[in-house]
Amino acid sequence: MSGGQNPPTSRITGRRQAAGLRLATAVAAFAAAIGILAPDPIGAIAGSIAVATVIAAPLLRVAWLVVRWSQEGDYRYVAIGLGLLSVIAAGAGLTVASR
Amino acid sequence: MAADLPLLLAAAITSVIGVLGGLGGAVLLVPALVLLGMPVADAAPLGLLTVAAGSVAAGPGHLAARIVNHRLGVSTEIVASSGAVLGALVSKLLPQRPLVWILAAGAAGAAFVGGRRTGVRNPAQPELGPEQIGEQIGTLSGAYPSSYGVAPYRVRRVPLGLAFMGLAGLVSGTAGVGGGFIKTPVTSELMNVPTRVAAATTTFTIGITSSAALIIFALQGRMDLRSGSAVILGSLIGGRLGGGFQSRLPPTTIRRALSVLLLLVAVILVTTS
Repeated sequence: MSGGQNPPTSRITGRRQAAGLRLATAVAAFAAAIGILAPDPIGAIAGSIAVATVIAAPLLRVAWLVVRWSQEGDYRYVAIGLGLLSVIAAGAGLTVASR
Repeated sequence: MAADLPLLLAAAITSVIGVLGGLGGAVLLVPALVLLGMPVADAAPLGLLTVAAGSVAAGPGHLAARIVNHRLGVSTEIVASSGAVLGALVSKLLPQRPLVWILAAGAAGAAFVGGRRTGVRNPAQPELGPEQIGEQIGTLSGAYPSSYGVAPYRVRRVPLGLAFMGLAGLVSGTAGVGGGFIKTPVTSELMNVPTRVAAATTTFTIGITSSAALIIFALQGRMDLRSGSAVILGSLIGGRLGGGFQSRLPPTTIRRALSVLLLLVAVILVTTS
């Protein structure tokens, strides 16, 4: 692995990803607490924010990885990441279309 | 608030256990909610919320330990998410009982294979330094920090692994569980990925699978926001605790805990089907 025969190790450390996830955790936790404690409509709005945050965070993580992989020139995995986001978008589109 | 407290506690406990073994908490939470009288159609979105929230909360701990293989995760996830989207769209048409029995057999089999394995499969190499920890650009291989030093690993049987990931995704979309109880043993035992890396990578991927199915459930109007808030808060707390424990425990302990959990999952699946 270290002798130059193997591909180089990615330099992505995950620090920014971790910071983003900590922020998402804080926002979702705060909104979920308000969603439990506050009466509607404030509770419902806060609950929506909590749900939207936990749904969006993993997808934003993939989008961020696609950007970082493109900066590393790893275009095979850029394509795979974009394909994954496309599958999820297609599922949402099919659901909207079938309503 | 008083009515939401049991849900919050159940989500926290199942999330700790789920993240620790890389299984996701839903496989324990959904049967528990159904046993308490909640209809499966209502329990499934809550199960997926606990998985997504647990995945978000566990992420920083796993990233700090550098044990997530994102290239492997995204590659397997494209198949799993396709299965999850398909499963969520056709969830009302599929027969549930045969699927559940197959899953129970799979979970028990994975428990047996993981539990009987001894020794270190990917030994540490003294010549490797901390700068080699992580993923290799353009491949699915990498190196991780084991208890004995930096250990390289090479992913094997990718096509077969992808087939199982598609099945895991289909299960996620239909039954409202993350599919981690299939993904982690498949990644570890079939695809030759170290147990800690497999569990952390699966925790990352089941968050994506859950998001894919949750978007559909939300668009279908199948989301109770108050119950969802309780589950999210409990799962964020549980996921953070589970992620911290997972990074500190030795692989053998995680593997044995995973085997016990998988046996428990198999029993739960059979008894609640």
